[in-house]
Amino acid sequence: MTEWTEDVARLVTRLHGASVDDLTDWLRDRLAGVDDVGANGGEPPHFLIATLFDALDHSICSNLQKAVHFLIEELAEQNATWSDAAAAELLMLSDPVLINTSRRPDLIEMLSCLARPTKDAKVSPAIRFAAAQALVTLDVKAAPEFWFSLYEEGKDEYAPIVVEGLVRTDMTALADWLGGKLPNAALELALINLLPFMIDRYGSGIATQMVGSLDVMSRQSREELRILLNVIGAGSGEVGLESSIELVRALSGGLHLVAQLLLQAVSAEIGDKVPHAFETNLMSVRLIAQHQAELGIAANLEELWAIYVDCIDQAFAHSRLAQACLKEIVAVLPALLVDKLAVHLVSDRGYTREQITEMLNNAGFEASEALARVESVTFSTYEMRFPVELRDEMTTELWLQKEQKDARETFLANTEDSPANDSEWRGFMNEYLKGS
Amino acid sequence: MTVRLEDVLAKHFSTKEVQHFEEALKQIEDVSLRQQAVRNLYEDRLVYESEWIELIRAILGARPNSKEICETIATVMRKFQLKGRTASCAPGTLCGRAITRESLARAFATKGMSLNAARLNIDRFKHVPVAMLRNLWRGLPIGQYVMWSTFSETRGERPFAGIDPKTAREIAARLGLFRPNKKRCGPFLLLEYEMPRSCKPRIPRTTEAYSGPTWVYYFRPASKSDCDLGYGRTYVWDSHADSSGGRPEIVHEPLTGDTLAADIEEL
Repeated sequence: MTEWTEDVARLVTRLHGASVDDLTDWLRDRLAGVDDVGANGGEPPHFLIATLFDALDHSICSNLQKAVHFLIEELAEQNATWSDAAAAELLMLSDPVLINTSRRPDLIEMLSCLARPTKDAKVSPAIRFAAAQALVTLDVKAAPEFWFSLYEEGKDEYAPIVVEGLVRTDMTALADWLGGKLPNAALELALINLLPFMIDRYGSGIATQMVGSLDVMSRQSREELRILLNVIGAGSGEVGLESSIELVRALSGGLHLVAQLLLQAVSAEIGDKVPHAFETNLMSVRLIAQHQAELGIAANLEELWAIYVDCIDQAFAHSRLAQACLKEIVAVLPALLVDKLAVHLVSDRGYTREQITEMLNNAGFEASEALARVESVTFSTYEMRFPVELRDEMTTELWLQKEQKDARETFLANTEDSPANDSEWRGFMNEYLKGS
Repeated sequence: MTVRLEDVLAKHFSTKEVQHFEEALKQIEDVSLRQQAVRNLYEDRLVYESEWIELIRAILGARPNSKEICETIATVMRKFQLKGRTASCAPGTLCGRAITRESLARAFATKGMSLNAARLNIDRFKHVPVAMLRNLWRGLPIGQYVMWSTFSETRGERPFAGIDPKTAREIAARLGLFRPNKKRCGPFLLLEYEMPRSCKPRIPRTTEAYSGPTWVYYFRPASKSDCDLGYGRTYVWDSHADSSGGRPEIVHEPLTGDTLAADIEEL
């Protein structure tokens, strides 16, 4: 159990017994700068709440969530009664208090209203800015035009918000928009400072490719970027596996799901329900893979491609699954990789060029020259590797995930000095598993 | 002219008013933070007479409840924030502050970045050489509201020199940093920056400690000898009261990352 210092312990006890109304009153006071618990010099009032939040009981967190939601509602309706500073403090609580709110649509609506530029400016510029910042913090994917309008209103002050909003929403729209805005020092700096986030989300291959393609960027920024990429180890489009770990994990998770279904399909007689279930699951995998597959491949993750292709192979080993599978896969993969896959199926998996060409045509793709040149493999050389290799791989992965979950729970139950974030957890788990 | 609170009370206010003022302050002495604050008000020797008079009058006019008196103090103090005596910390002096990654991320977020992006930025860039970091963080604040920092009394020495052992706990204790968790301290990023010519560092006063938005937990006003030296001194944790004491302490307006002068160290 966490051992709070005296004043904080008193506060936590008070919060335990507090109703949502009590919490609302307390938050209002705290955010306005009146509270029993102090801080370090210059530390904002919301910081204590943000620091304590993860360690508080679920019931307090839930009540705090309601209270913050209520106060944002109040801010949206009567913002004149809020000082800019207190409003900014309140909105800064979006992370962590509202990250998992169940009332996300309402919240986004309120924040959008506060942030949206209007001619009858009833909302102060500072509150509007803080609301827009809260929208990116909550990972809101607004239409590109929304972000453009914020920039038109707030100009360079809004550069970090607008660039991040677009990075989260639509990288292509960002690249097009920047093409017409650069060179611009504020936008370039915002983009460079967002590079770690882009690498985390999309992998360094795609992130560096995106910023590198902006040839309208000032020479100074390009030079700064070139040196920076070398220093932080992202290279010029080359990628380290570490930086794409989240990407690999998400995609692998989806692919393993497919593999499990296939395992069932192979080991049981294939009934009518199996292809349907497979198709449904492929749809959900597609959601994960749609954004991720291209990035993974672009990041030269050949290993990932190998796993992917393994799963695809197994689907194509069953004629009843082939059409459904290809339809989903071509929706997931970029054209270049559809071509690569088509060649693979003919050269390594016993399909004829005609079969694959027909399937591609049905999915709206034209057969490439590479496909026309490829030699078909004979069935005698075709050897199905599934399920032995893939099943082993899956079992190892599932075992590893369980081990990590167990270790994390044990560790949390026995010590307070738990890692503070995912990256610390990852490092800790690697060490833990090495030692076990 | 700077004076002590009790001298102003005696000189400019009637006995009844003084009594009323003292009773008002008693209202806020319900928690340790504010007990210390009241003690500090009486100990502060760097507040100007006119500033005290305004504070006393405001408190006399406030409703006698803890919340309103605290608000009154914060409101009046805010007017005089960073207007005290200039500290003896010349431009170019290497100053330092220990800050958590989360606190720095929240300062960055005030410029529009999401907290998640700010955290990732710090994680990725904290190892970048300072010459490059200065450029990257040139628009990002390395503190909020009022920046409190330390420096070495020995000219040319780095701000955390002499803190031994150089651990997160020792640094927190010597700088008098507030911690919510008894057992856990840090990790901190040690930021070292060069005092820019455009910035006027001040000796910390109650006007900075209690002008909000939250009152400073570990603070005591500069003693006479510290005032003569031209800086305040951090209020070390009780557990370290017998050690070599507090570090020099100054306050100034928030600065940005382009003032950084050394690679970031993490403890």
